[in-house]
Amino acid sequence: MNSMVQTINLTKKFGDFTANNKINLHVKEQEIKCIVGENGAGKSTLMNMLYGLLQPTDGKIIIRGREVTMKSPLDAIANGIGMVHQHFKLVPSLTVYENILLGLEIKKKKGSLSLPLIDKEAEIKCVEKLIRDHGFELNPTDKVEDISVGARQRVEILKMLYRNVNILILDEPTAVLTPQEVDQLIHTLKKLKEQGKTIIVITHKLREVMELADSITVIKQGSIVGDVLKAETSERQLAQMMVGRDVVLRVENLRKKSADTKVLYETRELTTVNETGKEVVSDISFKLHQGEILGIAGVEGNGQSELVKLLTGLMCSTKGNTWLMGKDITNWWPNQLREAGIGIIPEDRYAQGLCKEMSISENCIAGYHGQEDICRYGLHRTKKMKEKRDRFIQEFDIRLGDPNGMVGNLSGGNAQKVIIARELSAAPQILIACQPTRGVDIGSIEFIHKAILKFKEAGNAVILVSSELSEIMSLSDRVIVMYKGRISGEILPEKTSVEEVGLLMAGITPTEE
Amino acid sequence: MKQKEMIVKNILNSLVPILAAFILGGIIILAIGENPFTTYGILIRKSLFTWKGFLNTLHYATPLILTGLAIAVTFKANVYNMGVEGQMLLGGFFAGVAGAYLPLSTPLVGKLICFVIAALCGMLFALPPALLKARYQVNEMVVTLMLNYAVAKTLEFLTTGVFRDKSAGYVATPVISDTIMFQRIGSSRITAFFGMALIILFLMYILMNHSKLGFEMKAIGKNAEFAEATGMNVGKKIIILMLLSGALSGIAGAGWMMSDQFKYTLSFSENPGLGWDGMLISLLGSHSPIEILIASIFYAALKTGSDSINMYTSVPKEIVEIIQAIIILFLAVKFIKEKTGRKNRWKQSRKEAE
Amino acid sequence: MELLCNILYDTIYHSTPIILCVLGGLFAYRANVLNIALEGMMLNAAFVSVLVQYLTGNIFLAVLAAIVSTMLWGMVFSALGISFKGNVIVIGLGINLMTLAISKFVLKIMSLANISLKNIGAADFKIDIPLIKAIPILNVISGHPLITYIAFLAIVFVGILMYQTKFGVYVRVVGENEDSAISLGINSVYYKYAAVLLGSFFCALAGINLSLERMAMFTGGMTAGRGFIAIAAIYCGQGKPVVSAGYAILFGVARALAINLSIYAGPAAGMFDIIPYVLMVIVLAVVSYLKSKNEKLRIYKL
Repeated sequence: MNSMVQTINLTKKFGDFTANNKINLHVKEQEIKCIVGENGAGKSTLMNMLYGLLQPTDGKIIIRGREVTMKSPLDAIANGIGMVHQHFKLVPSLTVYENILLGLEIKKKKGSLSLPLIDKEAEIKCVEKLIRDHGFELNPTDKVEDISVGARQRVEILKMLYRNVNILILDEPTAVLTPQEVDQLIHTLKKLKEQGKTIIVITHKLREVMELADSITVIKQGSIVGDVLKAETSERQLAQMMVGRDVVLRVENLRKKSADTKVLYETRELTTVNETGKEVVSDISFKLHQGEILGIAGVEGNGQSELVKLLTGLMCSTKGNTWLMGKDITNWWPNQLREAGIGIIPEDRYAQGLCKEMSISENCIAGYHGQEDICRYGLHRTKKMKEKRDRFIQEFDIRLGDPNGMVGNLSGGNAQKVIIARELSAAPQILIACQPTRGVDIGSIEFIHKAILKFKEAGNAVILVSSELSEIMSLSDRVIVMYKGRISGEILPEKTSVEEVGLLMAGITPTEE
Repeated sequence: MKQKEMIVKNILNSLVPILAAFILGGIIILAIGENPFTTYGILIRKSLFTWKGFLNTLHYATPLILTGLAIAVTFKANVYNMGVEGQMLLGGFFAGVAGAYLPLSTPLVGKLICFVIAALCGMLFALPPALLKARYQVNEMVVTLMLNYAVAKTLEFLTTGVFRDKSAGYVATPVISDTIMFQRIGSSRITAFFGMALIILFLMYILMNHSKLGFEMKAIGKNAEFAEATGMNVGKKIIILMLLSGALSGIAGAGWMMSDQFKYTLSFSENPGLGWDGMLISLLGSHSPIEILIASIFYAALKTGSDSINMYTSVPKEIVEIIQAIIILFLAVKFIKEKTGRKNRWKQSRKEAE
Repeated sequence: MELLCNILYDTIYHSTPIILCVLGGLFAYRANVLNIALEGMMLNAAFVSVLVQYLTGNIFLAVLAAIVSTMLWGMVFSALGISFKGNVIVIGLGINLMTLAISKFVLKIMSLANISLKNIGAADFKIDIPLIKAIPILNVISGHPLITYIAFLAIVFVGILMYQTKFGVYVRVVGENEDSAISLGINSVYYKYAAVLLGSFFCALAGINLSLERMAMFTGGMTAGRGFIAIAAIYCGQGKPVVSAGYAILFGVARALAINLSIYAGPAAGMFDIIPYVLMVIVLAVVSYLKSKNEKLRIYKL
């Protein structure tokens, strides 16, 4: 087989930081290549260079034996390279067909004259044919904002296929899918490979790598540390290469029976609507016991995000109630919730949890900035703020260059530790942890998981929301699964298989026999 | 170390636009056949380098300090109260009306009453846009701009009608009573109002840099979602900040009334207006109190100097307005970026992407 | 009857510059570049057109100079705001102050309080439509200057441009999801520039209409906040061409009513001037209320 994509000593520097160091990648024609590595290892940088979004500092890119320079994604597409990004680049208010043909609109014709108007009928027909040819399930006239995440991903793939690419790059394609959808995607990709496409998949999920890949390249700290064929490797070996040491793949929760302990927190029939009036959270009722971690699982976009906003006071409910130890706290504001003893690790670290452009000490007090130890007569005590910051840095092992710097300069893991330190040191009784380890390096994941378990074992309770199913399954005592804003099932992780959870995530409740 | 760098950057970011504006202004002066250096020389010498001129400059800087602060407290929170001009006019007008019609016999209490009335007027103006913003996310910029026009028209109507001083040869309200006029100190125009503005400036400095509200103001301005998520009740804080801004504007108008104008005329705050000047000052001073003080003195110097230009050269004093506008245009762009900014920003976006 | 006709005629008359400003601001709004320099751009065109007409007596030159100079302000706005990534609100205000200062400066040099054209009058610009002129009531459509007709036709034109052409789609895509545009090689900077420049072209027409065509004169600050009213109308109409233009016409109605009814108001007539501004605030409040009625989110978008 011929070489399809090759890079020679490809290097990318940002100032004095080397994101990619002398990468020699080699992808053969018609193979599925998986590129694995930890968060921040430099996978995305490499792919962005292949797709023309970033220009290399040094080195060459060779496509089908010919050296190319790509200044923009257009050059990449012209060279037959297409990319499906992790965060889809779709326009929600436009329809499926408009998104697929974006940039290549079909114009109306009058005789041989081309009018400056768009021919919508011809566009729909064209996309219908494309969908049929590849055997996808999509309605071309649906608006993208109305379709599921899986369907959006198919739109992205079609967008690239319409542009006749031979090489398809997918960045973390499975992060937002149910286990069943993942299977479907793997099937689709294998079929595309048979049709002659070359596929590059970036991922850090090793199980999927083993199912999908023909060959695997491991990247660590900007350099290639391993190049293996699937047949000759194992999950364990890959993990070792990625991290550079033996890793405990999961922190185990020593589950105890907790059904008879007292209820700390309860919601009943919580319901809310989005700005168009559509119900996005429906009748959510659950009880949270002392010493329990309650996991909330589900494919992203099924109401978990809104539920978390409801629980953390960022959204109002239209119906239903929330109680904290018998006290009605429905629709309380975030400051009231924190005062009442609820710690919050928000979903989006840099949108809700931290302010990048504020200093670390300011971020360390945010949310508790009115508390007496640092605020007297409405005035802040700078010295106490600094003391608090230094205590956090020490206790939570936050690694930083300049303690007086901005939070934005911290790495993802350390930034997350600032939030965890802030919320846990206020000694709450309930912790609402949302995506606590997203975009965090493996070392910090371990630290954060241990901190959450320790918190629970001290007689408190945790609501854990995560799109990482493995995180939910290993940490939680009990899991509720959400689908389309409702609870589609409740399970005990040690007694349930991933497949069963997957069905619930897809809204399929197992029939009782 | 870092903080020093920041200050240097801030100063440079303010100086570059000023220099650019003076160079462009100089070209215009050249174009109409005058010497820019003599013009600028006159502009600065009379207003800054004579004792009396300097004190006059401080006098003119006084209301600008307050309107600058009024802009800063909202702009810093990313809320755009464009109604400072109208709030200032409203405050000035009703302070003037109270000063003329109410029997205010003691100087101190009388002034206090006028300031309170003016502050309330400014707050009254600021309240509807603040409520609309907080409750329904109505764009406060558009609302305050519209209300500015409405207030200007209303005051014009009241000045030419109900409150017109018939004995005056032109359109004006009656002169306020002597008891509540600020007395000039020495031969210059400066009054105790300047001292009052400095006290307010000091209080605002504490508020903006060391208080809970200041912390929240900053957080809201940098990242409103973060502010809400950390329990700052953004809507409520917007109302508070808008009211504070309105009060400061009203006080600026009342002070200007009692220390300089003594009656309301249609050119009470001149053109483009003390409120608009306040905006430039706040931008020039990057919304921080100490720098606002410096900026308002610089700005008042331009203003007093522009009268000298008119007297000693054939350059119209409107050249100063052009220079001011160029400064604003260039202030919008940060010429000196934070040194490590780009790299760090990139690092973060990369981390988010993965 | 007479009164009704006057009100209708004045509605069209007063709507025109605001409609043009709205159409001018729309594309920038949809491309996510808030252009609050509409006011200044309009003032610039109003000033330059009358000034050039005054100096040269050549109407063609006057119009051309107004359009070119206004689009130059569009370039300044785009360069500072889009290429140098400055704060567009501050830039917009800077341009507003700048154009005002320049007009005052030039008037001062020429030792004039305002420019009033002698050899040409507002009546010279009026165009009658043959048949309609004779029909009662409907005849209010006739007898307007050229740009008024252009303004109303432009509503349709802009509607088509926005929804039926590549240009419109790309502008909306750039505004809604810039990353998406970039990933497909759509030059987002180019479309933002184009949106702003197209806007300044419409503002130029608005300015020419305001000063040269309608009054044959220029006075300082004659735009009187119309640019900001246009922004309010765009907000109310959420950037949809026809709806936003509708709000512009609503302002025209308010203005026409205020002018025609103030005759009967006696001494309180002066207060009628504030009606259009207050009305715009009320409309904006109602529209925003309806829009946020279902909003359960407590997060402010500042």
